Amino acid sequence: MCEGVEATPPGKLTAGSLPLSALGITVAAVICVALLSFPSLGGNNYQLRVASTLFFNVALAVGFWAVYLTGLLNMTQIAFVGIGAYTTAALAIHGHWSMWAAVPASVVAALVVGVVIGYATLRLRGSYFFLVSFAFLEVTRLFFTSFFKDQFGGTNGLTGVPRPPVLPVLGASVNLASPSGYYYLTLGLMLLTVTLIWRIVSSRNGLVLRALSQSDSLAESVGISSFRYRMLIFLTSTGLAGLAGSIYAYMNLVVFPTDFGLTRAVLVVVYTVVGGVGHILGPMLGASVITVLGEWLRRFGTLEQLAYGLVLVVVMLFVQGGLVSVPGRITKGSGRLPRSVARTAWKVRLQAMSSAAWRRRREE
Amino acid sequence: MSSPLVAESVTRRFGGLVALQQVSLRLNPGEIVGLIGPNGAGKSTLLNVVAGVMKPTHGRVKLGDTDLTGKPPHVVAAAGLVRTFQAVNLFGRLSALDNVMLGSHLRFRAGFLRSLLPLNSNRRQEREIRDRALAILEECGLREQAPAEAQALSLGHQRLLSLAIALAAEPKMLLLDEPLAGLARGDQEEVLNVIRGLVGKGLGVLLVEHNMRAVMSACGRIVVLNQGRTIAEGSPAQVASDQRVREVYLGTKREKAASP
Ligand SMILES: Nc1ncnc2c1ncn2[C@@H]1O[C@H](COP(=O)(O)OP(=O)(O)O)[C@@H](O)[C@H]1O
Ligand SMILES: [Mg+2]
Repeated sequence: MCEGVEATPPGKLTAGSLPLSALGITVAAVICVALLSFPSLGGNNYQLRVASTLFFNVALAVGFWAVYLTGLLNMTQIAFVGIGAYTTAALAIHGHWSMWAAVPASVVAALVVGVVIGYATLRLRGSYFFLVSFAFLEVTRLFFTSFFKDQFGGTNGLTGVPRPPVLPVLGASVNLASPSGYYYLTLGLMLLTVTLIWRIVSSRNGLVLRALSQSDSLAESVGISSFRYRMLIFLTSTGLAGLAGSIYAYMNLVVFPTDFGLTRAVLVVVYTVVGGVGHILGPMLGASVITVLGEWLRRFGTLEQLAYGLVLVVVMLFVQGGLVSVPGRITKGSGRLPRSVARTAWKVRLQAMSSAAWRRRREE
Repeated sequence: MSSPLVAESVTRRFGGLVALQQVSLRLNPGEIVGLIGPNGAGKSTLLNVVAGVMKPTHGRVKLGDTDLTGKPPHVVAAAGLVRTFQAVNLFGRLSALDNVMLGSHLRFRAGFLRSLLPLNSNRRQEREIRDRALAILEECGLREQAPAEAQALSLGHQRLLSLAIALAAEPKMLLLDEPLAGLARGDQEEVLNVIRGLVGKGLGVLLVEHNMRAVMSACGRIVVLNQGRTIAEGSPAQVASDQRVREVYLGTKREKAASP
């Protein structure tokens, strides 16, 4: 991407996005082939189930990150997953819609609500947007809990979503309602999300999105409509969330209002922060690591929640750019000792919290 | 080319405070007009009203026949009116080159969907944007700084970069809010030289400045604001000898700087 620019280190000119080199494409292709052939290479049902959850979470994290790039902490995403899931469940159960009709209808439903919510909220900034988007998440959950109980089932949710069909693929038949079927569905969701978001952020418009998080007023002063660009990326993320919700309904065959609440929304934030926001690999890595860690921690029962918290705290304290920044730090050898960085991070955090206990300890 | 920027008796109130009272201003292509006045006179407010950041309480803003009153900033910019900010305002964590490339958004903006396709025309245009941005950086003496993060530049380079971003937008009229503030003499000269070069190409420049010496040497015409009103307008010599200007402005702080 940077030919013809002498005396300037490449990479710097692409605003933090990796140039799409031949090597990158090769690696991505190899990974795709490996992922596609995993079920037929004898992945067991447990592994396939964990992998499906992982793909689903990666898709959510990347969709969240794309909006975060423009400086918005968007808590509405999980509400749109819920809207997609409920649309699919209601249409499939009450209307006997096929999967081929219910899935696009769910994406459209998410987009229609997304346009309204976007117009209402995307002119807000910072904590105002965060609070309003958080309110929308709660309102959506309450809506599915308390309204149209005949259609949405109230607190009991919607049960009995018909199983997804058996597909003929290249002569063979893939049962979508099997672990390997769900594996392919979520893999498709993840590949679509990652490819689309990657294309956007590494295009010219990706630079505009990044700029918005740094100075709205400067962007506007050179003719960039911050509202328009925020709307475009918000709707992209929202449509993908609706698609994810639709797939969620077909995977679980039941949907409950509590599936689409604050807990899940916070988890997506955690994936993104732990992985690091500097690169699309950050949310992907964060979602993967935490999903696998979560599965592993299940054996410890209630300790799972505590462990999540600990992971978050440790990463925030010691790896401030997120997991994705670790290889760069090691290879660059920035001269800063990891321990001194960690010590500084400790001090900053503790001072910021102005913990009374800490102050007392210093005075002694 | 003959489309002047005209502000017609602009009034702007903040609650009870009248920041601007029936201020009129005309800026022709190819001229530098100085806008001076003590702190709090309303200079930045006038710029904000003209650039669409604030709506005027009364009055109109026009560029040629286009009425820009109350239009949002990105629409005003698209009409050819670009401003810089009094406080340093950059895309801090992007490179200087990226900053300038973003400045040329209006000329090169691509459809959201179209830019996603791996088209040759996209790639060609991206190279064109980069080459042009590099040329503008060169013009502003920032060629070396192209790959540096904007927030890591010196204040002088940051001011020049602000100017470079504005130039990349190819404005017809440029509004500069204290572009020399906080700069050493040498850096001031550098910025002024860039500005003088622009006017030669037919740009209109409104130069808001505190620094009297710079305004006197660079501007053909000067408008003096005080407490939201225009108290004088004319050539540097006329303004410098105006009794009221001497009282409210020169007489207070900048006497030494004003007398050669
Ligand atoms: N956003 C605002 N809200 C309230 N008052 C403002 C605002 N902006 C400017 N003012 C007031 O308007 C007056 C003019 O300010 P300003 O235009 O910044 O002056 P200058 O740029 O000439 O120093 C000042 O009294 C200032 O306090
Ligand atoms: Mg000012």
